[in-house]
Formats: sequence, C-alpha cells, structure tokens
Amino acid sequence: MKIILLLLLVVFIAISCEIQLDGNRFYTVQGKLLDTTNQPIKNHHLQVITSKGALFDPYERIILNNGYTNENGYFKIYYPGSSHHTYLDFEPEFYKYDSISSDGHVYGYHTEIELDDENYPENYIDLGNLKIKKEN
Amino acid sequence: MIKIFNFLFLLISLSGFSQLKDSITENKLELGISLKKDFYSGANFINKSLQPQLNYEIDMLYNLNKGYWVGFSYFRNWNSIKSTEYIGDINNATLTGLGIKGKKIVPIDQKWSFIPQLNIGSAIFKYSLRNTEGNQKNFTTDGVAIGIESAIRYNAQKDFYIELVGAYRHIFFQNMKAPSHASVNYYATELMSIGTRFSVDF
Repeated sequence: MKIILLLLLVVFIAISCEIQLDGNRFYTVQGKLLDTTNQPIKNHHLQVITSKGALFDPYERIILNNGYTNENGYFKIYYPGSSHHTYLDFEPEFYKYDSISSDGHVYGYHTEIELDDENYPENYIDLGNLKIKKEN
Repeated sequence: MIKIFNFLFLLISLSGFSQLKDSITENKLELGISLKKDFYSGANFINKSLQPQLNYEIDMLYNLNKGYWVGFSYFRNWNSIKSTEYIGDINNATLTGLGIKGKKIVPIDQKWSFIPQLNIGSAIFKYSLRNTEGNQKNFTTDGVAIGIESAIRYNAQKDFYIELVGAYRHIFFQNMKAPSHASVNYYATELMSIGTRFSVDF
C-alpha cells in the first residue's frame, strides 16, 4: 500500500511539474553578437529554450523560438512565457565570455544566458553586446 | 470534414421533416451551419504568424418574433503557420469561439431577405509545439470577440435557407502581457470571414 501511495505521489509530482507555456505572455530578447576582435558575427543561429529536470521529475526541453543575427550582429527573438527556467542558447560549440586577459585567458564562461522573467517585468530584455567564442 | 457533411445532411433531412408540420405554426428555432474562408488583418502577431484556412460555425437561434432572433454560436478555424517570428516555434494553431448572437431578418421579397447580426463571445487561439520527446505541448491566447455580420438569405425550400455571409470580428486579448517595444501589436487582432450558411427552421 505504501509503495502504491509513493508511486502515486511520484506520478502526481511529475504531472504537476510539467512545463506550462503561456500564450498570454510574450517576451523579447535582443542583443548584438561580437567575436573576440569585436567584429559582429552575422547569420549566427540562436535559440530561446525552456527546460526542466530534477529528482522524480523527467527531463523536458522545449525550443520556444529561433533567431539569427543580421549583417551587423544584431538579433531580436520573440517567445511565449514558460513556467520553468528559460534561457538563450548559442550553438552548442559556442560560449559567451565576460572578460579576456592580456595573455588571452578567458574568464566567466557561459554556454547560455538566463532569461527568467522575474528579472524583466517589462517583458523586454536587452542583453547589449555579447562576446562569444567558438570552443577549442 | 466528414462531420460537417454529416451535419449538412442532417440539416437537409430535418428541413424535409419540418415541412410535414402544420404550416400555421410559427417557427421558433433555427439551426445553422456556416462554412467560411477567414482572413486576419492588422499589424498584429496573429496576422503576421497565422494563415487561416477553413472555418465552420454552428449556431442555434430562438425566434423573439417580429423578425428578431437570439441564440448561441460556436466557431472554429484551422491555420497554417506563416511565420514563427512573433509567436514562437509552433507547428499548429486553431481558433475556437463560443458566444451569443442576435439578428434581424428583413424580408426583401418572398424568397430573399437581408440579415444584419451582432455577436459577442470568447475567442481562444490554441497553439502546439513539440518538446524533446516529440510530444505536443499546447498553450493558448484568450480573447473576447465582438463582431458584426450581414447575410443575404435565399429561401431554398419551405424551411430551408441558404445564405451568403460576410463577417467581421475584433478580438481583444485582455489578459495579454507583452513588451511595449514590440514591432507588432499583441493586444488585438481582426478576423474577416466570407462564406455560406445553411439553416433550417423548426
């Protein structure tokens, strides 16, 4: 009996933790991609993704929308709201860095940028200039 | 689609049945089905993203006398995806509406009538996209639709009518929250329809 109750609890948690998308909330994220020499990166593919996954909570990942940088490296992506963690993803082999030292050492790696909406009450996110580098 | 043709067949059959009743009795109920082609308009995220296909509408109206009728209507359309830029990476979208409507039948001659109408109700856009497992994930945008409609009606048989219908609906997304910097409007859309309505009176 206890096992059945435990199983039911696990199923309940899994269902209640499902990603819920919201068509009554839309967001914009924009920015400019630069390479290590401050040159704009054009036609670069970006994705806004929402995902979840924890103990007793099956992994789930949804691409909310795709975007490309233009000739000047600018991008602007619209996407619907999600109940779970949302982030901007570069192509898998790329990462953003926050600073670079004179000897070329890169600090503050990010393979994604968080877009969780509590930080953006106006539903508008301007990431400014983002330097990204291809993984060696 | 088969359901729609079944419904049309039922309407025509009911029309034949209704002719058997006493001709002195005034018809009190009307059952109708419309098949329409929809068009969105305006610089809004729905019009930029979706291309409407077939629309069907089912309605049932009650005769208030003196040519005035009121009742309920349900409509649904299917859309192809024109662009995902403003709406997200969706692969499917439908619009469903449920509301009340009122109309006035203005006779032109023995066979023809002109019918102005008003309607108000809910409008729900439902979208689907896929997750990593390939399962469909649905989400919705809720709105309120206010519409006007006019029709030219032909009395094909005793209680069976065929109409040419034109309709306009303004759909407000009153629960929407979207960036003010957006280059399209997320707070309303416009829906126009043209098509044919078949109806039978009882």
